[in-house]
Amino acid sequence: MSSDTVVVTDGENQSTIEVSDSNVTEVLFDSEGLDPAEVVVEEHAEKQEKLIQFPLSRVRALMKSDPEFQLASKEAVVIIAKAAEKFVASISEEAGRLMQQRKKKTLQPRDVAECIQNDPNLEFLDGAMDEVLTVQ
Amino acid sequence: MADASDFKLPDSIVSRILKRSMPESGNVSKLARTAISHAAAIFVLYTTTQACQVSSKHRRKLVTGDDVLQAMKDMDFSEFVPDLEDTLEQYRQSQAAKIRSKEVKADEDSVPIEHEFEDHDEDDDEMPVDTEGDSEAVLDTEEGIEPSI
Repeated sequence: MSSDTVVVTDGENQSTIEVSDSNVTEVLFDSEGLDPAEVVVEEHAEKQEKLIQFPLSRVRALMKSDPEFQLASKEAVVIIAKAAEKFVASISEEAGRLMQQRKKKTLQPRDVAECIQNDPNLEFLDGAMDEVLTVQ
Repeated sequence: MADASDFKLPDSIVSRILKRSMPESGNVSKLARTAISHAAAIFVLYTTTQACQVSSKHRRKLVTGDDVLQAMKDMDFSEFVPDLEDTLEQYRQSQAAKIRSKEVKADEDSVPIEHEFEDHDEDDDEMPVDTEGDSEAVLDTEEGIEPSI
């Protein structure tokens, strides 16, 4: 039987895995949500990593809260989920840098606040972050 | 029934990404994690709005993967695009592999199968599909298909 390949990645490393009738293709469900978030090939996989970590159901619920939103392809939800993961990584990295500048080892809301202030790209967050950034 | 947790992203996953992105010796206060999680939720909302605008320009109600990629550029997050394109490609491959393995099993059982796509060309990937299972239903099945405004 012919075989095809699936590429699995964790963002840094890639494994190319052959899918054939002799191995099993399974869809795993993210434990935090109810949607199949990725495909994992057993037996031949050296590294089994999820393609998307955020549960698609949660991402979809967020999208639906927009009154303009009606329909989206599954691909759109997948990409938005991945983009959100990259967004978290990006803010975390920058806020972590600011934390180090303060010579501290625990990330605080003030680091997140400063990160947002410094980046004009994050202006869309203005006004929406007050309740989580207000220091008690 | 909706509750507040429907409108944010899982804490455990946010934590995991946070820890990977920070210097190794760093800790994360719970409030900082909440702030970042909240920001990510706003990001999803903002991206959705932008992507809707892109699809509207094309006179479509359906938001596609390409609309989202365009939205990223419009939002000045172009640096995300290469990785997102990779993810999209891998996702498409995994979906195709899933279909082929179903075909193999179906052949063995001698049961006629219904293809989700007859011809696997690019446009078919943009068909609205339910994220829970393989049925060819639109995403907002709970409310049914909404009439155009």
